[in-house]
Amino acid sequence: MKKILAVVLSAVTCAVVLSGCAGNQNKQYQLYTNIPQNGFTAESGYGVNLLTGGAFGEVKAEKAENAKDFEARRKEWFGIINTDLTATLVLSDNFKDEEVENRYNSLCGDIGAVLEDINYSLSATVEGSSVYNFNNAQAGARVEITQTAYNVLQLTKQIYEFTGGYYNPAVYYSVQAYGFGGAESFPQKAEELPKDEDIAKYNILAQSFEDIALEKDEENGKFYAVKPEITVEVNGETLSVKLDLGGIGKGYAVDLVSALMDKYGFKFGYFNFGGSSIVYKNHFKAGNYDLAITDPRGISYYMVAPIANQSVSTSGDNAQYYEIDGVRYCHVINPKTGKPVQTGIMSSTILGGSAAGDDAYTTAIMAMGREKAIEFIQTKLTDRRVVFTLDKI
Amino acid sequence: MSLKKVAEVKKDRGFKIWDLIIYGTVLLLAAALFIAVFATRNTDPLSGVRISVRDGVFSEYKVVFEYGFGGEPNILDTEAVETEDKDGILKVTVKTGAHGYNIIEIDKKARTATVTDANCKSRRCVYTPAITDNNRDIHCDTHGLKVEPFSFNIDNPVQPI
Repeated sequence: MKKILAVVLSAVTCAVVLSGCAGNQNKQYQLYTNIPQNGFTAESGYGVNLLTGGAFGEVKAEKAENAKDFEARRKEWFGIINTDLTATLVLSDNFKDEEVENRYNSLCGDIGAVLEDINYSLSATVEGSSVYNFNNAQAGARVEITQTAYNVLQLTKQIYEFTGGYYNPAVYYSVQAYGFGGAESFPQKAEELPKDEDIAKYNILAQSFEDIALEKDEENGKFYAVKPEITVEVNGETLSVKLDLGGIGKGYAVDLVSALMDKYGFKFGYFNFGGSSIVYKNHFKAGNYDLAITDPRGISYYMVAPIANQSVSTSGDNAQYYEIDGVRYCHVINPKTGKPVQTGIMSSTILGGSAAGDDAYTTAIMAMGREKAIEFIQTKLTDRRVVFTLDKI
Repeated sequence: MSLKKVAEVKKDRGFKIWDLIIYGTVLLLAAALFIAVFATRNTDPLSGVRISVRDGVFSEYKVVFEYGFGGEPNILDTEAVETEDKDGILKVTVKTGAHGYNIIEIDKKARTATVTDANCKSRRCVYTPAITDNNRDIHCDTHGLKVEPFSFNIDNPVQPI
């Protein structure tokens, strides 16, 4: 009897130990990527699905010749677009050299000006900003906007078409209704979720995004956005279309800062805006950086890939979310339904290309769902490295 | 007790192979836990100090000051932070709220950071031991101030996203 008991106890102990070591072998989640197998390292908890049509290329990295003289500088800016965003510039260079120090100061000054312009153009909460004025204007109004807002809106309209409407910055009301975008609180129970009939009306406004007209007055050098005439009634209130450009604004800022880093000759370091859009130059010792992409359902990483002289953007349903009755409601809104994405795609990351485009494409991929996302990546994003993760549903 | 029983007890005394397996497994588990907790602990010397402040209990902390040993102090909120560098001690005064303040002294040579003065009610932050490695921090709940290790390792190319 004692022998049997001992065998059972040993077996149980071994099982516990082994399950701790190999619990991730269940492959509950899947990752899909167009990066060839030799271009990344995946964690064992994820089943790997390789897509076709990707152009991995070679990561062209450069090491510093005088790395021993290098030191790091780290500068952060706060309160951009939304107050909870942080922008961080990290540079490695020989700052003992006065010329480098002067270039650094000039770069920081220019980045500060760029971020201020972005804030004044794209923030939905800063009074007097282009987007704020547009959102608060009457339906049909012609609103003067900054050139930056004009450029970003033009780019946004191109991406709207390119993604077949899966990226749409006019889902403003849905974002607010589900408790995101600076709303006061999340719904706590099913009764507090927005009504389907209201969401349908918000979505009518969102679909009018393509009717927003952009005008450029060459003579006066002024720019305008014209609001569509369409309005809806919700709870006795007349609503017109509103925009939230947070999904592309960070990437746009990263692209501008990347150009500034090149202009001032800083080859080593990175600029990170809000943690979801980053441009990497070179690592002064290693050459390339190793991008460790966070597991959307864990605390570690599901994938590591090298990156240098490229931008990266990422979206995930783990950044802001809540659960009601076992259903996850995240901050990424599906423009086709007006509701938080529930396509099974948990996160999406793109390396290469422009950060502004990638910022929008990662959002669109989450809304597309598995089949459409695969087709989109394999036919339209062949010049970028793309990866998305899928829940078992 | 009969002689037969005595012989049986003598025979059963001592460890059997299955006892050893169980004890061994338990010891292995204990050793694994010990290694996991202590061997992976970051015992590197303090690499830097970060000071953050928040407006209220439910507000997010905002970094107001950073210092990596060997580098230059990085003041991120010039209205709230004043520094004085004297005899290898970097004295950082952080204004919190309307009338609050905390004074943090960073010993550049010893690589330590401690709160030396504050006008908060409990002054718990002042009595909290100095930060000497990357495993400890100091909180001033009254002023919403946090002093913590700041590891800004430029040698590490791994970038979490």
